Amino acid sequence: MTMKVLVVDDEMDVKTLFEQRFRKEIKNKEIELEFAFSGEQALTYMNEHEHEAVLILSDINMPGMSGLVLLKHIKEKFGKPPPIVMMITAYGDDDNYNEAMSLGADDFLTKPVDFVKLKEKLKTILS
Amino acid sequence: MKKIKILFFIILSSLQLQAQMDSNRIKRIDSLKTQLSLTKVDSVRLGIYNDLGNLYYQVKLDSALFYMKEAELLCKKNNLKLERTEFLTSIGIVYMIKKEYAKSLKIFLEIETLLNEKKIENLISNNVKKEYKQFNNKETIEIFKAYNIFMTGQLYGTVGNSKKEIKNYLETKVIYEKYNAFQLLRVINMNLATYYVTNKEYEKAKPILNELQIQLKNNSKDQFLKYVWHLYGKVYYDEKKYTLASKNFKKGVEFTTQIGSIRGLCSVLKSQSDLYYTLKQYDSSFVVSKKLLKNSIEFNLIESTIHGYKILSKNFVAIKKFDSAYYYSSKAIILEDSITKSDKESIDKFQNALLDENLKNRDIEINRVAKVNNRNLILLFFILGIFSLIIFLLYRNNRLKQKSNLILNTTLSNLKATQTQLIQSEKMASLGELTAGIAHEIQNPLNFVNNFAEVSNEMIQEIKEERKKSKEERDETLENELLEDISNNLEKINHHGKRADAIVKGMLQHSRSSSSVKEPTDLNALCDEYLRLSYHGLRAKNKSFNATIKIDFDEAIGIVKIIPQDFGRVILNLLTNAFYVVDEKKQSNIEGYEPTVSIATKKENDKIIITVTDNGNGMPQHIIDKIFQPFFTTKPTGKGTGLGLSMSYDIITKGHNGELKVASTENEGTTFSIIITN
Repeated sequence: MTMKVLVVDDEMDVKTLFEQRFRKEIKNKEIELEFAFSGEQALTYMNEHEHEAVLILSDINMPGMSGLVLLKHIKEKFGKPPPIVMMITAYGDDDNYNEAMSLGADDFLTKPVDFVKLKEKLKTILS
Repeated sequence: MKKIKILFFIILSSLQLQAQMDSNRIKRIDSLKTQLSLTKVDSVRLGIYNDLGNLYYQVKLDSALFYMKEAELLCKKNNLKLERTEFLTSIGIVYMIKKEYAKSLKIFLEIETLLNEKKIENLISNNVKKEYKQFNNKETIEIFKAYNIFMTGQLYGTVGNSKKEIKNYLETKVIYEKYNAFQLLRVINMNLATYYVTNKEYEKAKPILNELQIQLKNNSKDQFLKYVWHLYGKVYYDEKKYTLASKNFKKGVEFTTQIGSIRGLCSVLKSQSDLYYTLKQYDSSFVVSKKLLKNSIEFNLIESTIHGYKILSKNFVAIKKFDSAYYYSSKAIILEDSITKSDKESIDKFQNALLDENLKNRDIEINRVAKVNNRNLILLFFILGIFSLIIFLLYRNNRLKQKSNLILNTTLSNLKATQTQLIQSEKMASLGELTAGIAHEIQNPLNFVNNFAEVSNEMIQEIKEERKKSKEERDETLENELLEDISNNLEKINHHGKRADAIVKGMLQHSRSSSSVKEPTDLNALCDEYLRLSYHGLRAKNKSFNATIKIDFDEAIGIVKIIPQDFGRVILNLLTNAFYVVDEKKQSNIEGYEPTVSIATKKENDKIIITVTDNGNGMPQHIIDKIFQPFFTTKPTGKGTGLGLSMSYDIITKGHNGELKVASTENEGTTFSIIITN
């Protein structure tokens, strides 16, 4: 089963990085990566793929709609199936961590993203 | 008509006339005395004193003197200055006739002092003004002074100083002529004529006499002018024109008898007796001499009496009656001795009085000079004092200035130091605002550097593993793909490394002092960079904060010459403020409020406009008026230095010759516009 992961970050190079990191998983069709470069783009994508099971990996600090606002919208709007939302933010940002958790974030990652850990988490979720 | 009466005094004194103590006179005197006892009104009493003085003057000098003195005291009491001088003049004349010359001199000097009093022209009574209506106040005083000079001249003449006498007469005449004082001028002319005739200066006497005679012909009622006859007679007598002389003396006798003037009559009789004796008409001379003696003895006119005795004696000699001649001659000598002695005493007294007066004047002059010197000395000390004070004040001023300058310099240095500190504080404060943003901005490229390095390393491992495989198993396409990715990654590492480097450099530039040198700068990139820094800075501080950011950069701007650190500071400041106000408005939970901050650049001809707009609460005009003032802030204490906008204003207007404008609408938002010329 291919897992669809929506990566939301305002940094374009995230796409390259994720594609390289998940090369094997993509090749083995274990994972399918989608990218949104703002909160707004992410919401648009979600609206277009409303009933798809998706895992969202979102940065918090973004110009325009922040990751936390996006999280709030997703948790409010999309219940079937409930998307798994993992928030990524800078190191030691406890406030954002707590807020993300209170908004219903399923997990939390700090930058720089430890891809080994991320892969493990994804595997756990997949299983 | 007091003046006229007084004028008669003078005439009488000069021509030695005296009236008989007739019954009419006695009646009038009694009547006046009765009136005097009935009135206490000063003005009425003054008039009575004057009349009594005049009446007695002609018959009883001591009584005249008494009433004149009473009148003078009354004037003094009522502060009637000029009237007082008139009565003093009368007193002086009486003393002169009484041969009390020293007293007379004292009186005339007193008059002089009175008339020289300051502002006496303001103290002229209405009566005097009326009497002298053809003259103004100053002229009236001058005429009074001249009159006193004339009287003093008479006194000098009486004591034998004819030089002084004629000098005073001429001096008086000049003044009377100047003011055209006709009535007084005829008096002075009569006296001058008398003087010249007495001194046998007929050439000088005649023109005056002729003039007086013409005046008499024109005004035959003017009694005063009739004295001219006696004078003419004397001139003719000396010129041996005895018939003419006789004719004039007869007229003189008739006139003086008619007006009842004994003194005047005696004077003419003296001349007439001399004429008859000269003409050897001894009988006539006897008759005249007897008449002369009768009148002169009765009214105690000593000189006339002596003359009478002498001419009588001479007549007796002529008719050879030597006993009688000796008898009258002896009488004349005895009388003459007594008079000479008394005259000498009077003249001595006068000379002493004059000497005293001169000494007094000298003392006054010495005192005056001393006073002037003292005053000058005081003035000198005063001026010196003032100078010293000025010098002291200047010195003190200078000292104070020096002190003030020192204080000002110290204050200026302190202010400069404080200003530098404040500017630095503002920089550090804005740096503080940036810290979180910077951390975020650096963190991202660093993450990429780390992640790309990491993934590249993994890829290299993958390639290595691939190369360990046999040729058949090796996937060269994958290897090439990986190598390509590694190459790209290295570029990305480089890119993000540079990005982090630029951020650090920007931060350093921001905290460093401005070079104040304009450099070609990508203005849009600069705006973008500071937009990110400010946004993330605020986000780092306030996690809940979020705002919509609208960017509208005009690519036509290109490279602009600006001082990048300074300009960045301004952009940062405007954006930080914009984010602050939208966040503030957001806190008030207005429904449907979407905090939005826009930054735009635009090129219009040679002008570049950068606008920063927020949809915050806007500002009322009274705040707008102050926002560019140093230390003005609407932020809570400790949140703002109040220097951001004032520094921004200076940077744009002074550093870039541009404009920093603000437009704000309450509840709608604010737009700051930077306008610079490229």
